[in-house]
Amino acid sequence: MFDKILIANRGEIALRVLRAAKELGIATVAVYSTADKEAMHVKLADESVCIGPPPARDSYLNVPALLAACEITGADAVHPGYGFLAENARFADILGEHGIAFIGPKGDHIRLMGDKIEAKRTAARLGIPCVPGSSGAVTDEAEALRIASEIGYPVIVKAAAGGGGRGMKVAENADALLNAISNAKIEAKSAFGDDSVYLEKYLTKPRHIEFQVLGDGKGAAIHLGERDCSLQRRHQKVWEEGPSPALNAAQREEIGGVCARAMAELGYVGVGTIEFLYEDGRFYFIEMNTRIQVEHPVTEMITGIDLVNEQIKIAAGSPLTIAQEDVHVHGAAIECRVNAEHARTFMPSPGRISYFHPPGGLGVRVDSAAYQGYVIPPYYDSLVGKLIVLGRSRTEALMRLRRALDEFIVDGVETTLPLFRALVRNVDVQNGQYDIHWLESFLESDEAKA
Amino acid sequence: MKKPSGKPVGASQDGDFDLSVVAGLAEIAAANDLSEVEVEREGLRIRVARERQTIAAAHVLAAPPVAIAAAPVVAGALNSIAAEPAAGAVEHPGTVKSPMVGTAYLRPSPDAKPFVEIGATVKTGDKLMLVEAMKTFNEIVAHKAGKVTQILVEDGAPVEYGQALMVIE
Repeated sequence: MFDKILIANRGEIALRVLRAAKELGIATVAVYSTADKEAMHVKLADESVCIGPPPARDSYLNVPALLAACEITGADAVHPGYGFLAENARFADILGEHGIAFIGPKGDHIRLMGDKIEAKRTAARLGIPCVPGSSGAVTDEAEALRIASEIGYPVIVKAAAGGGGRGMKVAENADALLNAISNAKIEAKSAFGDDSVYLEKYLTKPRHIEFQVLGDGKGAAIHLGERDCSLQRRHQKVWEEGPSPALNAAQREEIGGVCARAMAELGYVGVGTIEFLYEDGRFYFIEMNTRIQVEHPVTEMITGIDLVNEQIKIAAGSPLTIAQEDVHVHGAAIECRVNAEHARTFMPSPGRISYFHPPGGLGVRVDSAAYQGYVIPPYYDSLVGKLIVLGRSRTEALMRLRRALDEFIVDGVETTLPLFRALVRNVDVQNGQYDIHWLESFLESDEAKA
Repeated sequence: MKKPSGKPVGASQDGDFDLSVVAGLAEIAAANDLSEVEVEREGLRIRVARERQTIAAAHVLAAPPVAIAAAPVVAGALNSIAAEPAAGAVEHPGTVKSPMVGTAYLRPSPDAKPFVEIGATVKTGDKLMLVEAMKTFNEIVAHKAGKVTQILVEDGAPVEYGQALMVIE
């Protein structure tokens, strides 16, 4: 087991890692930029090292500074948290070369899943269902029509070199397809310099459902159920819950099983999340995240399993000690990501928290590094904290969430708490009737503006 | 939460010293507007240093082998979001701060003389010390001309970004 873990991150996840390390009796080193000198985890860590000025590239992304901090403190392991260098294969490799453990997957698996086309190929090879589409670029009109009719309309034409929602055109039927392809090619050529396009089935109202996996790299891997993260704004998750209101136990076991077997075959080490779009009873792989995720507490609450603790033990060489039949999902959990942003305009609101009172009571968990008097710096993300509730049923979780949100006070900065108070009272949310477009529609609606 | 201690083993950071002595020295320094007060007794030396407006740091040195835990001087002046002044430290223009994380060396090699000693006169660009990380040695040079009045780190001590290394006045 490790003697000392250096936490290469900040904010609530750094505090989360610190807590897990302390519970394992492992010494902790906090690294911080000058803007984070008063951070909670810095105060609580056994040692701390200032690694640079506020900009992330000079501090939290500064590999030489992180390595030097490991050197002067004698840390034998680094936990990268999420974001920053958590999915930087080179960082994982460099640590390995210096004899420092990276608490995460192997560099090669990070690389594999970081390339979205390779990830999809690998997923397909491992038996994970993917979005049906052309296997490569479409060059020929007749071929395009044939593939599209096989996939089924509507179909989306995507730029191979693209991203950010650009160079994508939806075709509702065969008549529209050739037009969509030529328009997409023109846009792709001008935006990316490459007019190669490929086809994929277009999902109109999917849910975002992801499965938590855990592997030990020695051939064992399990799944810990799913999280429904459909409520998003600009591709950022806002509210996550588990189990998904849309799935039943049979579906969970089936897809969870596929994910677990795939990770066992891959020899995946540590925690990971396999993300799907789900529509009309079918799952479509979109990507895999090779790190601990922001919304991991949802899974921890419904399974009772401490994911960061498991990450650390596995990274230290322990085999998986939990068998699939030991994993049970009990009750329902909901997480709200409370950001320091105006609840309607989402304008960032950094500054000093003048009054901070988090909720408590049975089944209420607040993962936050904020405290009264804390100054939220403007250089990083705006997450104030995560409020997670657990209930014996989804209804109880919703009642508990409503109660907890009403107790939660954060003064001095704007927060998105009012948004969550509105969501927990909304009929569609209460019925679990939403897809990935729902939240943005809601924000446009009169109800949100009321 | 303590700063990382230096590599040499055997030195206990928490010696058997009386905290009230430190408090007493701090009071004396404040009351008389002194920048530094130091006492030595039975192999234990205690130095309390303060920047004129507020108390900056209390350095505790145990009997040899010596290991210093130096408090960092944060470049707080540049960060306008920090509503409260960071630890009350007023930026001294003569402070030489570490630009990186690493290990400070006051001599070019273990047997050589230190680059500078207290009282030495330096010109801009003169070598003051080295900070090493992963076998790469970086020279720390004087940013102004003047006299070295304080050397705030021990040879071989770990240093962090922004940490005060020396004062040139």
